[in-house]
Amino acid sequence: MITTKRYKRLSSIITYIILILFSVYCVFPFLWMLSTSLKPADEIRTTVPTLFTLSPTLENFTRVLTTNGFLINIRNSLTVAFFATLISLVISTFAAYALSRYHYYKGINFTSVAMLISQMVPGVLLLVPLFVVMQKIHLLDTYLSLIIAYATFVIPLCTFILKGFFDTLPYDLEEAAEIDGCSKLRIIFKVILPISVPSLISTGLYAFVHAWNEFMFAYVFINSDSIRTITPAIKIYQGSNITDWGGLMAASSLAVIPVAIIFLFFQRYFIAGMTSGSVKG
Amino acid sequence: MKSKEKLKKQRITRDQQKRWTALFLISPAVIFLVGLIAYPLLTVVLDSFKHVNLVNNSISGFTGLENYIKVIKNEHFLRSLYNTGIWTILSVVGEYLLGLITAIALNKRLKGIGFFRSLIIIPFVVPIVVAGLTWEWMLSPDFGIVNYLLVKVGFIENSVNWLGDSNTALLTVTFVNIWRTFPYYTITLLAALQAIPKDIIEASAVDGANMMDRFFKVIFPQLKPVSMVLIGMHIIWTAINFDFIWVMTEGGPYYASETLPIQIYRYAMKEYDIGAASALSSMMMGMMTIGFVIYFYIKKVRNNKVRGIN
Amino acid sequence: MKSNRLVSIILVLFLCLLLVACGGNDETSGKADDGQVTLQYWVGWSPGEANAKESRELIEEYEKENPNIKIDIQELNYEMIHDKLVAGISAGEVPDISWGLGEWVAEFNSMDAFMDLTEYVNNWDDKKNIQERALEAVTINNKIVGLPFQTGARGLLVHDDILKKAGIETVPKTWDELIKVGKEYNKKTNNYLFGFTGTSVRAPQEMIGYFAQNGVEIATEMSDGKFKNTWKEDTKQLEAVANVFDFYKDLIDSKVVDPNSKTWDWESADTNFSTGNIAMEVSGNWMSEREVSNPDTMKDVSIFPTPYGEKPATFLEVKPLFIFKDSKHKEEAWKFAQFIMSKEFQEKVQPSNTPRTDVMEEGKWGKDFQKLVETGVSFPPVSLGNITTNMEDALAKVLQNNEDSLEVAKWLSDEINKSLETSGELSNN
Repeated sequence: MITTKRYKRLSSIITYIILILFSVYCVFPFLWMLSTSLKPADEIRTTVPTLFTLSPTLENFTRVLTTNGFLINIRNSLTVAFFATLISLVISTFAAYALSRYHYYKGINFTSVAMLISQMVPGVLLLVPLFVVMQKIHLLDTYLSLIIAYATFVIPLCTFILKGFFDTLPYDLEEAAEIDGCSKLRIIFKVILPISVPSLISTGLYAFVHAWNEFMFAYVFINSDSIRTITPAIKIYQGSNITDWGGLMAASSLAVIPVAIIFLFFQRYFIAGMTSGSVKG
Repeated sequence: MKSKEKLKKQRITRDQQKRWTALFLISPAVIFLVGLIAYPLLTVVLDSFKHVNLVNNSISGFTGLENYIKVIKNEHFLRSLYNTGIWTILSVVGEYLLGLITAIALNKRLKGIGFFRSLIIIPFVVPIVVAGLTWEWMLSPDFGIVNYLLVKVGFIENSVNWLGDSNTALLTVTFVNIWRTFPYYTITLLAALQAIPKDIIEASAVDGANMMDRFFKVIFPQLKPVSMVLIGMHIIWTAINFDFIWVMTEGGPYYASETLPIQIYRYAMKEYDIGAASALSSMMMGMMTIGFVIYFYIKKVRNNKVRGIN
Repeated sequence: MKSNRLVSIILVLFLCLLLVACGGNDETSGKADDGQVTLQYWVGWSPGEANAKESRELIEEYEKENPNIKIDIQELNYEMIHDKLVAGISAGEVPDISWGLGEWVAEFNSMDAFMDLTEYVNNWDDKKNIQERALEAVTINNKIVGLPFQTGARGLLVHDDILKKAGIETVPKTWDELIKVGKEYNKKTNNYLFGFTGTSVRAPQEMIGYFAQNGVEIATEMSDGKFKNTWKEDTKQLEAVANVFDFYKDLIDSKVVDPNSKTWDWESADTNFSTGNIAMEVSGNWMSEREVSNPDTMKDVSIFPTPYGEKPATFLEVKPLFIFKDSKHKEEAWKFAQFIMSKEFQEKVQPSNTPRTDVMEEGKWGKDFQKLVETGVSFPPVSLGNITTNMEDALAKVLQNNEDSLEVAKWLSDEINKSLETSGELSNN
């Protein structure tokens, strides 16, 4: 680049400053959450809030995990999110391929528009009708009810992201495979999927995060403690006469950490996957 | 001729085979959509024209436009509409600005950039319930760290009841929403930035463009398509968002932060008036559809214009 | 072929999914195949609350003594219980037995959700040991629809040390005294003496106490058995109501309370008191828990009657235990309910807010609150969902929009009658 060395240094410094400011802005609430979760009960509700506590304790965490069974809630969230992601990935891949390669069919086009419109539906709206539907097919209070609901909500967007990516794949690869006599399904699995890995990962992450974080439907569909996911479980900490802030923050920390780690690990894929039409060699 | 007929037959069956494949591929998605979105939506639109009560099954019957009139006449309807507009526009603008700035910053090849990238994504990963409650705790006028720090540094004189004062409630919730959502923009814009071919930028530099020109005239136009999609999606998502505001203020104080989805929930779950809730929902979807159609129409006109020039 | 293998893998995964999903619900709701009965019991205690542990221990003993019965406890908060019950009752999906709030009795009764306990209770030995006022709160039209599980009057909690330091010798008994003392206190110390809740469940509860002190009801039973708000028919009542609103306004204008009180929910009010920010508040005996979380600032608390307008009155809260009509094990649920209401249970778990007359906790959290039950009033037996919202809105109009008290009183009267009409409980008289 045509720039002077000093200009470069200045721009680096400014960039670092911006990045640091933003990082603090992003991470501070999370730190506050952690710090509260490590505080003993009498230090939480004080008029002079302190960031660090002099007597950190793990009692909030142990209480939340054992007595209140939060570990079970985590297990439930993991199960529901995992299967919802799996199902939506499979279905979205098929649909995205169809939208990409068969877009000249009227029916396919119509489905695409329908998917777009479905994104405009407020979740609140679907709450009662879906509740009644789930009840009729006896799926209330089961993992399946949430898995189905979550998959339905993310399928449209996943489809569009994958379609965007598929659109950038040249036809020659598939045509070559077709000439070799492969069925469409085989083409998808053998040819398309392997190159789509980054896109699949980012789509999968998106679906996973949505399922993990969802609150309203988990709240309404599930009654049993043993199946409850983490978000409604956290809301319960806002108790009837007292709010166990220490416990609430501990539970929240536990809810955030797994996903944060996954993201840290996969962030490169995630960003790469979101790139539609990248210039690759 | 025999071979010609054979070819014809082959083509027909190949075409049919294609159709079947397409159908097969798209059907699972369609089943989900129809069963779990289209069908409930249909019931909602139908219900908007009836008397339906969530708990009292004896209330029934067609009412024509009565529900719609009731909704419009509601003393908080206009306020709700206005709030939804402000909440949506401010959120999206704020998110876009922050997203763009961070995307540019993260696009540099500096040491430790990966670390910063991970940190900045964090708000997006936090469940809404958790974000809402944590910020609520931090913004508390009596025990919150935000007020404490602001007063200490001297930005404000006394603690401000951010979520409890009708003047600041909506803005505060918008602020928290921006905090949570902007990383999504960051990721998308970053990906788009990285996809811009470096030669274009270098070429413009060679042509003597300074930094401002480089950005506004070369880089920014490349971001336009992605930005349009991003903004379009988020306008919709923000307008229909319920969880956030509900967790932090429940639409209060005294409806100061009430938006349309909150009102819908209120009609359905607090007043048990499914008819009104359905009417308001249908209206909301209608408005968004109209907005969408207008958007597409404008895009088409612009595209045609461009093509016309070419 | 590879694609076939992939397809079969996916099928297998799908089957696993079905298994997991169907096996997800460990507790089968009361399958009486082998005589084993599981009762679904929804409770509202906060996780880790003191009496939660003791309750669980006692319930485990009960299960041991009744080997064919298992109690499946679900911990929720009241808002969740309410929303789930609303959704569940209309769908026929209810627990067997659940905690509740007094405000819900009429509402769920009109949805025909409850098991009729009249016969059961009348034939019950322990009936004579339950407070009459408490039983009244769960009776509608002579039908007993629940059991009074927890009762408690609201009282004025006072930090003795703070008052002493500020030189306040006597605790104010009336509104006028409260305002006078509050003004002086604020001038002297620049702090706020008192606090009230402007929002959340507790606001209407406080308001109804103040209304009762001025001799007004929010809905009066008429001769046809239904209810009506009669304020607009009687200027005296309207003025009494306006007077209450003026009292609230006065508390803020005279700096007796923090201006943020307008939007305080119960948690803000309680926490401000437990940390010593304010010297007095009207609250209940659950505050005993705050002695643990804020030991330094809660060590000087005494209980007094709520300051009154025209005559002493306060809110009496009765939290019921509900048994649902759609439960498949009503007999077992009734037996379990009897156990929870028994002397042994109540004594161990909640001696300070028990409805039993033969159990009494000696300390201030028990005895002193008990004294206040006499002047306690509860909500009228009507569907309260909309009415409590109307009351909260009225308070907001007065405090946040600065509307005229008399006009708001008239508005509230109309709204209450509208709400009664929507739920079909408005009298035609």
